[in-house]
Amino acid sequence: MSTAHRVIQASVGAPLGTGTSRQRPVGRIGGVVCVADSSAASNRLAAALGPGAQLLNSDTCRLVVDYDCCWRDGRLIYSEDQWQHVLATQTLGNVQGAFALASLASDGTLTLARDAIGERSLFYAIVPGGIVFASTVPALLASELIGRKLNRPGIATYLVYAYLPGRETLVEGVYELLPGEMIQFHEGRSASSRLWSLPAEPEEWADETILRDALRARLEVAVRRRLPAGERVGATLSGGLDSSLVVALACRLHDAPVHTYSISFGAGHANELPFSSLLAEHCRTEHRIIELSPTVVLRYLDESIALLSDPIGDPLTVPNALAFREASSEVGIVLNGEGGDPCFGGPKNLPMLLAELYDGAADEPHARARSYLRAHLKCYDDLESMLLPDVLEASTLLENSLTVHLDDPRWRSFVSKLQGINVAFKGGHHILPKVDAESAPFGVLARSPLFDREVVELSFRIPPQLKLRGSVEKYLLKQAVQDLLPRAILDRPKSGMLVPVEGWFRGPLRSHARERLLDGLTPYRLFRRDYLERLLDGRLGGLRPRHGAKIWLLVTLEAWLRGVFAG
Amino acid sequence: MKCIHCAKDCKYSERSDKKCPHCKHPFAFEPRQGDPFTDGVFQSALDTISASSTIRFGPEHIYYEICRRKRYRFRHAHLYLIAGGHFLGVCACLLLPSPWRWFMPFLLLGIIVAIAWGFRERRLVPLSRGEFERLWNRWCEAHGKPKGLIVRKQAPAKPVPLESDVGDYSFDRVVVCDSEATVDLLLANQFHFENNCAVLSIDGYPPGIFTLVRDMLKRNPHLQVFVLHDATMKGCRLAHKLATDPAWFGKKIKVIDVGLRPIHADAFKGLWTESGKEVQPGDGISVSEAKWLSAYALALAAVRPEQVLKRLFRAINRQFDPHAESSSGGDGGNTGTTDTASFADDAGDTDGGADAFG
Repeated sequence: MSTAHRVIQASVGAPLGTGTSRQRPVGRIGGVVCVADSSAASNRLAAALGPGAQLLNSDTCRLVVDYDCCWRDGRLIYSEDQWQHVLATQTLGNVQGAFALASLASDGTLTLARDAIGERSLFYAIVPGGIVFASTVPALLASELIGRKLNRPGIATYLVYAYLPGRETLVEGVYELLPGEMIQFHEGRSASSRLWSLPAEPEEWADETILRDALRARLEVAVRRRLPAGERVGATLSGGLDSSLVVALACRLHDAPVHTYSISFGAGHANELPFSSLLAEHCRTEHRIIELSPTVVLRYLDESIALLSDPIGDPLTVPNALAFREASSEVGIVLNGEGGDPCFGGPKNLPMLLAELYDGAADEPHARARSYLRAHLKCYDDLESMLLPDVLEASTLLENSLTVHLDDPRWRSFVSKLQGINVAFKGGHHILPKVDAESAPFGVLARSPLFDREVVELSFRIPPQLKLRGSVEKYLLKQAVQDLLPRAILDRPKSGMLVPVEGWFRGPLRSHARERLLDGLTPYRLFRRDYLERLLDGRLGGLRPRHGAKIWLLVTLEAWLRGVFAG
Repeated sequence: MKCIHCAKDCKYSERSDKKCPHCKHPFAFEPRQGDPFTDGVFQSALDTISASSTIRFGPEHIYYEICRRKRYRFRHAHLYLIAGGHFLGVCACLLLPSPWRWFMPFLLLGIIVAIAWGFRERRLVPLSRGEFERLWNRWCEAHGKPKGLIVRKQAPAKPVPLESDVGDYSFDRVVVCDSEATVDLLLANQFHFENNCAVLSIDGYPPGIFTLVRDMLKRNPHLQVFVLHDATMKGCRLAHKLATDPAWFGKKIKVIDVGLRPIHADAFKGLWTESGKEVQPGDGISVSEAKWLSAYALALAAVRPEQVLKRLFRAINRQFDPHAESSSGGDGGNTGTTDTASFADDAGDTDGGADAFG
């Protein structure tokens, strides 16, 4: 039993997205509504939205939808007529799958809507006389209808989460629709409503066996719906539980070859290749190992970050983009295992439980919110020493804004509360927008079966004690797929994708980081220079200073400010 | 003497009111009036134990940091050498012809003083607990409690209600300490949070959640238990107690001793205290350890907090390393494993002890 394993050295070459013949079947959306002389702005907007852009206008196109793999009442949606019908019957809330939609009614009402989990994004801004909206912030800015003013309080939020977890963006006056939200604009007023909300905990829990079988069945449906009949399909494969189970299910359910893609950062760097290769061997996939050097990562850093509507300081952004680039030469659809951690009891729960026991018991205000912010392992404890006083002062609401979510009455159990906030925040504002943005230039559709709406709904019906059994994470998920995976993968400890940022910024990328942080960020007057120098020199001190991750966070911010914000 | 607030120097006559003449901040100490050190020295000790304000610490860590500071002193032999140099200089002055008569005495004296300076002795400054308390209070009065000082949280008047499921889970590892102060150190520095690790004391601390957390831990048959303790009889018997006391985890659970034992004591000479209690070997204590423990004790607080945390972190990670060095603890048997390496290596400057006094 041998499979085709091929190591691909990612090379420094053409800009991202050039030279690909692949194009998504449906393009991005945008529009300028009720703004006088908007044709030039519309043209700029369309150009920035890329190939296949759909522009809303009152004359010829009153409905635009960027969608993928959408279902309603068990039937696939594949035409504009079906979307018209969905709107006419006011059943948008029943649609599952990825979509961002805008429609203009005959009475001038503009409706913007975003899918339940946040697989597609939609941004808008109120401008003099009207509204401008688009799938991406770079496109909104390209319209030149919006002032490029930095939302300074958002900087601290980004530094703590590594992304922007709510409606606000880093551009003042530009807002993001929340996952599952619909906003209607009419005669200068707006009204927000929910198409879908995260479900509450049930009053009674079902039996473990019933839930396990239901979960398995639901996972199979979620994967099957995302497979292109008769065509090769790709899947990113880290070797962890989530991506492995998606690959295993795809291999079992698909009628064409499955290609898997793993990332390596070269010899000498820790990686999960033994596990991904084991799974590829086990499932007999066409396996590719994409090897990335720091030179290649640096080459594509700016371009990868410029694809993002808000900065996402996750070191996997560039590897994600390059994996999609390599995959696009073979497949048009790439599955991933995103969603397993937030939905099924992933690794953030145990530290939060410890914090709850030790700090929550002290009855300090915001103790839980502080722990949640600290759990992101970014810059929460550094804000005071890293930000200039005016930026710091503007960011005092971080804990307050979080407490509302952590006290949400829909969930009685602590782990369900964490799940609710993780799915809403991380799913819809970090993971899904990132894979969507980084796959789009290559014409590839990234699909996340574990973020399937019905899978997510089912996950809230699983008692938290079956997600976290003792200290075993994702217990029921493992039970549901244990016949599909090798024991070594089911029993392995969670490690996360290991990007060697510490080594890169101590070695080959050191001078680049220095230039970007000390020169590139200076004009924005956000950071204390002494902090940046200590960070770059590896002198922050403390138990686990995480210099590399923090430098990456700031390098990403600098690249985004230069590439998107400043244009 | 330099002011720690404005960093400006001033003469003794300028600070007769014990305040900085430039910024008017008070001084806590006045060496001219018998205090053993300046405010600057105390601040330097705080900077060291807080690893430049990145690690939290307790007053006991400040005490040992001050005790660890060394002062240069001349031995009697050095004084004789310098006196001899003077004598030779005078002789040279009388015997040698001019111009050597005027040059040689100074040359000889210079050489001898340089030799004496090079061989001067570095000694720990003896400081009793009572003396430290007095000085500590004066510091707090003049400058306030330092940032990063661990202040134990007040237990809430009535238990804070937790969600119903919080006690239904378990953890992979726990650190059990022999003192509440060590628990405070680990918790204040987020060790539990960073390492996914419960922390308890053997005597039931923290009180509100102790029983709940211990019961949660008992649910994990693969639990890893680490014990962190002083080099005392109680501390060195901790692993044995956890393995044999039915109230704890039982013999099936692996207990790894990462605390201080007599084998580590040499690196902390001068910081030992007298034990004054005869210790019998057995129950996790070997014959040689019993002999040392009968005479001395060494507090974990003698190790800088940053070192304690990093070494504990390393010890936990060593358990995943098949080549890690470990040995049967104390009198062997099945009472656990001693990770002797964690506090044995790299115990020079990094554990404190090389900073000049003053």
